Amino acid sequence: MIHDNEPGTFGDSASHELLAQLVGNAMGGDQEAWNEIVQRFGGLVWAICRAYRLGPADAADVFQQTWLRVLENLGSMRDPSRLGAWIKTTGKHEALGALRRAKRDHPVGDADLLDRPVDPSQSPDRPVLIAARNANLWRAFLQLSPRCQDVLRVLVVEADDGRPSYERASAVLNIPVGSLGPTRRRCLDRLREFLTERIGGAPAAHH
Amino acid sequence: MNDPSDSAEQTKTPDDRQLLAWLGEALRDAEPPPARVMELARKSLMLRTVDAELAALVEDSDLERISGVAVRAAAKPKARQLAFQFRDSQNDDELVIAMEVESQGRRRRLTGHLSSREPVQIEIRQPAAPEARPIDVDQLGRFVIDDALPGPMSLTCRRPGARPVTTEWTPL
Repeated sequence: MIHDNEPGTFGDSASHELLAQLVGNAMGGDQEAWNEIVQRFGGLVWAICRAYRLGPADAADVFQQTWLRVLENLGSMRDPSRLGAWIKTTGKHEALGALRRAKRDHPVGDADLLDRPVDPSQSPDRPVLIAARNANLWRAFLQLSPRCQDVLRVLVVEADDGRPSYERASAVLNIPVGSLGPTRRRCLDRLREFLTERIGGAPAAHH
Repeated sequence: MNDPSDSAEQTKTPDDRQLLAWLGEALRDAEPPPARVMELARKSLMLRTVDAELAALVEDSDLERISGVAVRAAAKPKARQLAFQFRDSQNDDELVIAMEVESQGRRRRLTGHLSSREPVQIEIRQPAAPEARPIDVDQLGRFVIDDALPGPMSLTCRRPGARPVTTEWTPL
């Protein structure tokens, strides 16, 4: 049974038949089918670009490069129901490639492409409870240290994968694999504290 | 276990796995892809080549100089080396496209050659350029593209009596 909050199912909860149809139609040049695919999985790809802390130009290029590679391989996809997994894998592959190719003079952290945070409770078509949960989580996340934010972004992207990889996370974050577990725990505990505080629990202890 | 109807209680005490999953949703909600990158992704459909074989990227010197101080300290190669290979073992058919990429600011100069002995027509496609451009290839299979743009690039090679071969999209 697929819950709407089960890891790895965002965008993947579409039926196998629907995905197969979208892929088939897109291969035939159907713009609407392709638009639907981009719409369903664009958020996941963007999350990868952001998690890998690419500069604004690189993030846009990786986003586009990823979609071009997905398009290029549509025809050879043996199982269209694996479309989501394939798109995520492609995104990570291209993002890692961009990190490796990055010119040293690319400034990181330029805010140009990074939209001002949207108030999640304003998102249309969101059940009220989930919108509220997202809003609280987002604001709690913003209270974390930049380092914890970086770490959690990468772990979120790995957790969403059928085959999460601490090696890949460690390479992207540039911290030893052995520290990832404790860091993850510490940052999640902190997030949990801020979240609890936010919805009326005890104030988080200050260090 | 928590009462599922008590959502505030549930939100307060999710386990790590659940928390990461919810955080993923919250991040995607708060940080959607900018409209213009979504538009570019939708437009990508127009850049596909119908009925083409794919030549995979088999060499990229930019990917080989990674990690480790020693590698960075070594002299950087002036130009990036790329190689793409299409192989059809069943028909004993192979095509290799190799090139050097030199960057000067936002200009990219590609100097390459094809392994094919037959005449080949090539064209270059880039999202940054309005349309595919034919490229001259000499009798020895050599070509120069002086004014390629940064960003994804793909070459399409057309040989008489064969399906077109396109190189895997690769960022310049």
